[in-house]
Amino acid sequence: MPLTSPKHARLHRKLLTVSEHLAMLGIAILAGLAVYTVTDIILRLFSLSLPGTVDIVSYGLAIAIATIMPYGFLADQHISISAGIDRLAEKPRAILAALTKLISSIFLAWLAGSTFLYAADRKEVHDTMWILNIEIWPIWYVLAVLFIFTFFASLFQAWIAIDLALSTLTRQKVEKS
Amino acid sequence: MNYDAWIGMAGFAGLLFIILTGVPIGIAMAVVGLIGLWVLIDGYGALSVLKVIGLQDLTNYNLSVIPLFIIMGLFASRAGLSARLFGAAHAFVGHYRGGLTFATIGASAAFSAICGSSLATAATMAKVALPEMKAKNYEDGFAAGTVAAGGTLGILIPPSIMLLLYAITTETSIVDLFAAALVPGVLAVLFYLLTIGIVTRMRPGSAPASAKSSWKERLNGLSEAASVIVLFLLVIGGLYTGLFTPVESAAVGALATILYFFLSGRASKSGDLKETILECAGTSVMIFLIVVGAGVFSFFMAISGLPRVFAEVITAAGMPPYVVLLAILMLYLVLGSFMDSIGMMILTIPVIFPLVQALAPDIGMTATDAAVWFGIFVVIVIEIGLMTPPLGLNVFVIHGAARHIPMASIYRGVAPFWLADIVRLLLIVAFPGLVLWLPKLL
Repeated sequence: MPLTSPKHARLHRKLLTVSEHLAMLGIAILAGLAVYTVTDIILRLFSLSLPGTVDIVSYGLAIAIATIMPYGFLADQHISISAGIDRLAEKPRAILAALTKLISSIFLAWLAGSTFLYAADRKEVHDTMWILNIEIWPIWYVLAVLFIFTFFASLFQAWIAIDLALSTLTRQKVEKS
Repeated sequence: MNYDAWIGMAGFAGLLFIILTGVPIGIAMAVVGLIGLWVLIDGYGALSVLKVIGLQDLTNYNLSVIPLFIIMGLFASRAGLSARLFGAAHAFVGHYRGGLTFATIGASAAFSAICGSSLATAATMAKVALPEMKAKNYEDGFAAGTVAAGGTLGILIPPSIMLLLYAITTETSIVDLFAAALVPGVLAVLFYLLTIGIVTRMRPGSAPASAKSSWKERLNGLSEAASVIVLFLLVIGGLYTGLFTPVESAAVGALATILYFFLSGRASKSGDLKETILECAGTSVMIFLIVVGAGVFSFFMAISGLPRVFAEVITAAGMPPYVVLLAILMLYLVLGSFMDSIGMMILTIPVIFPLVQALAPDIGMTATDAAVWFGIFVVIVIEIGLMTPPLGLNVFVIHGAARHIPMASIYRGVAPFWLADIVRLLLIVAFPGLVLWLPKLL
């Protein structure tokens, strides 16, 4: 997406750097889960096992995906259909792009809010992992915080898109007059 | 149709509209699903679904196969395994007329056995095979068409990301689907080789023969490609024999390819490791978002009862089951001409899958068999879509890697392989045993 001002560009660069580091951390977590699983397989040959592999992998996966998510939004890593929009004129295309980014932001706000509520809910009932007797609410709070960061990343994208739409409208008005 | 089904219908139409405005498919499905559930149940119910389905999917142990198989495929692609496979295949068949195209199909099939993505297979093979074929005066269109066709093997030959997604959304056994894909995958390779044979016989100038390799060169090539064979035997062999669960098999594959990537020296190349990691990250989160969105949307569809009503209407109309299957094929070909393959599958499965389940007795299958068979049917149709104009994503990937070849030439080059795929699909419809034989045996 084109950036309309140097201020936007600087902020985008900063957010992207942070999100790239988080994404690399996410993939490192996934690699760690692979190591844990393979170690468990090897130990199985000696009739031994690592504790709670399913629990570790399940919650590790959630943390890894939530850690990667801001990068996904900032780098526009989505499956979407642009064939219809590409054929539109510049003005409706810019407005539609802003709207789609806003929809993503609203959904992420919803997701972050639900995760916070869910974390509070899990804390209240002292919910634990299936095999390991560890309370899960701190993990859900971590996920909620990561979703909030993703929400801000998405909101930033929406802000840029709205700014772009507004500048397109203004430019076209000036050109007309 | 009752009120709920009409809401389901409105939701489906709304989803199509929102997707056409460019909203990411995963988010569009989740948003429409939540709004639909809000209307059908209430706000609290919709939020509960987001917690139960959306959030629980994040901690679903079985879903960890997705990012792990993605890591395996992308690290293998970046570690240069495709070039080694092509070199080995070239050493054995390069001296035949069309030898490099035979080698491309062979290497693509072998690479597909460790990489579950069609686009990754096409992109990596384009970089390896196209320059070689250009140097040997192969006809551009035919060479590019072969790479595009070979790339489609990536989503059929296990481990396939597309089959994983199908397994997750329809709750079908991954092991059964991976086993079912093997025979159609081998058939695809044989049909492509046969197609090359026919084309080179009709147009000998399109693909000249290279010099014959010595046995020393062949053995060298084989030893270079041995790592792929070992990896495939370990990952997929372990899965088929029940030695590993799907998650364990994906973990073994991911770890082995990461190690191979580091041992191959690619990690020391500036930016290569970071690029590979970010590619894995982007692809994983993109697919995960779709899985979560599809989970919410499928729940909305199930609550609305639309798939059941749709299946009842079709079966009550008394249409022969093969006509229905033909209509499904046409639908996918039309959708495939403007939609991404993952989006197309995830979007249609909640409605089409129950219909196929309802038709199962009419086509002589149990519901479980139909689920496995239809998974392979859908993936083959999607394979065809990857080569069908105007979208044909594999063709775009090849064009991106070889700008000098016009799109029209690539489409012409792909046409014989497209026909071969149609024949294969008809065979699989006529003889479902080709798909169901191996899962039943295991």
